[in-house]
Amino acid sequence: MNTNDMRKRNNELDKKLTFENKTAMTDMVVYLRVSNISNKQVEEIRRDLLVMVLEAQDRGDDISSVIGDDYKSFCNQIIENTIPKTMSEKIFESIYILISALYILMTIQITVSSSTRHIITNLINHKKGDLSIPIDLGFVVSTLVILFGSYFIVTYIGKKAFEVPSKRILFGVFGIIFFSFVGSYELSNIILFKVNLLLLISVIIILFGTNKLFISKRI
Amino acid sequence: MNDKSQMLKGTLEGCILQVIKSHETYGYEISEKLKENGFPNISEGTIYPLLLRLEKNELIKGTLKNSPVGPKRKYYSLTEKGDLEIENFFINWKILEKAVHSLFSHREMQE
Repeated sequence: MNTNDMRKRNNELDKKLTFENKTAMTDMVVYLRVSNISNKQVEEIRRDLLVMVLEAQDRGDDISSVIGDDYKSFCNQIIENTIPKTMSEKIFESIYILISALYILMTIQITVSSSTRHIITNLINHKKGDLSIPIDLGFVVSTLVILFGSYFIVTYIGKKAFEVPSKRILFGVFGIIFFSFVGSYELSNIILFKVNLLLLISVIIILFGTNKLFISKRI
Repeated sequence: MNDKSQMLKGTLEGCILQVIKSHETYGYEISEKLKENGFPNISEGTIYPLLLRLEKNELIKGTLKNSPVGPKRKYYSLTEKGDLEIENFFINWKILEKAVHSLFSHREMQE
């Protein structure tokens, strides 16, 4: 079974948890996800923990009677006793995140671009026109801000999963939105190159397919 | 972590192997068996990291099997390497037990 199938199956089991148990499980899984364990191993451990907590739930036992009160220490013991991510797993995970972010942001760029609207209007009116979409510096800057900003926020949230949420997270999210908007607005007049809409759609499909068919099987 | 729990964890691995040796079993059953034999405050959560460690060191093997009460459980069985490890653990335990007993025997006589 691949990691995605395991994740789907675990999500189904997760729905059976009580609110209190689900909250504790979410904190633990988020903490494990940002640790040095492969995605596949995290889903295997998640499955074991879900079965453990669901059976305790059926027996009428409290989650703390199974795991104890110190979830962070429990997770640290788990991390200590698992095999760390290999270099190839780390590389493929980074490629997967990068490709996912790229095709999502490229799709958004196509959707909001005024050039796309012109192209569609021309097609509806049976007019021949330019099929190219400009890629501006604003898009590149906002893509980089969203990509790196999201990575740091997700890692920060994971590391602090057992603590009361800090205002830093809100500032971080606000910062990403602000700088990506400012970047895309202020730098949108600097056109780097133009690309054919059909070529761009093809690239998105290829990136999506590569992730789903090849990369996801290696992480 | 206090000294008592450090000592307990060192011993627990060998005892978990012994429980698994008797028959293929799962986390909750192992923790219950250990409690029955006098290990205090042992929960499934206490032994889960140790089971991961034993599995990582190829001393036990986990297999998913149907459970009568819910989702599939992971049942653990001993590997050949695990079987040898029990023997090592038992020999080392006997040496330790003898040494501790020898050191504390004067104290028992005084009491």
